[in-house]
Amino acid sequence: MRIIYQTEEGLSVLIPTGELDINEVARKDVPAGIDYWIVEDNEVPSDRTFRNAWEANTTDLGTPDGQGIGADAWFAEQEDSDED
Amino acid sequence: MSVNINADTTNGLVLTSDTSGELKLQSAGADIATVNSSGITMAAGKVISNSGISSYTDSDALTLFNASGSAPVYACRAWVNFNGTGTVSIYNSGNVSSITDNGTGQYTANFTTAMPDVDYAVAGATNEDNGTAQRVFTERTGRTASSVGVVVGDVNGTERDHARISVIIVR
Repeated sequence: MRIIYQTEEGLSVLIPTGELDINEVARKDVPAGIDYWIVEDNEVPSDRTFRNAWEANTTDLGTPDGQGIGADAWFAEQEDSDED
Repeated sequence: MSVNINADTTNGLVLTSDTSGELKLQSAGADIATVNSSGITMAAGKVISNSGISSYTDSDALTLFNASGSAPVYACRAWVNFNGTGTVSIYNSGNVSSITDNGTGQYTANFTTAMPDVDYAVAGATNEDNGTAQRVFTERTGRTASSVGVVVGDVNGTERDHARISVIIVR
């Protein structure tokens, strides 16, 4: 599975290592406030010839799977849960 | 039942014996540890006190890392080895939750557990392409305690995807 999100700088694709649940990876590694979609590996093109021109087709992707909170907020959450 | 070795506060050494094959170490009649064919098990709430490795120059630490001499050991805190071509994929990693494919030759390593600050060292390498072009690995500006971006390309300054890219973080 891959996580994709669009920013002004272009389309980014997150490749999880498996150390964390993919939903937690998305929340942590997608920038705060940015929509993301979790897609199958084969939904991301393997032909990277025009990689920098990639854009997310939000119509086809449909409703986002969530919104990133960013690493700082995610780590703060972990610290809070450790203290509980 | 078991063979008991009890350090009694009234009678001193108190030994009791049977043929169970199990040995209990006791203090004032309370179990501290049990030794049997499986090994040693500490009783609930009891611990093995040990000063352990106290610093990065501790000889035990150096031995642990198979390091000769007395120079201190500093650890790799995160690493990832990935394929930046085709369907980008990760060969293997440690303390990295994901990599971000930001574009041709541009990637970010996201740490599972954050570094203590941004003063870590970044090392990296990228494989050559059948010897046809020299490759370059650089760090992107804007590192944080939770991620670092890298750029790979050729000596002409053109960003390119490479098939084996390594990133190592030492702190």
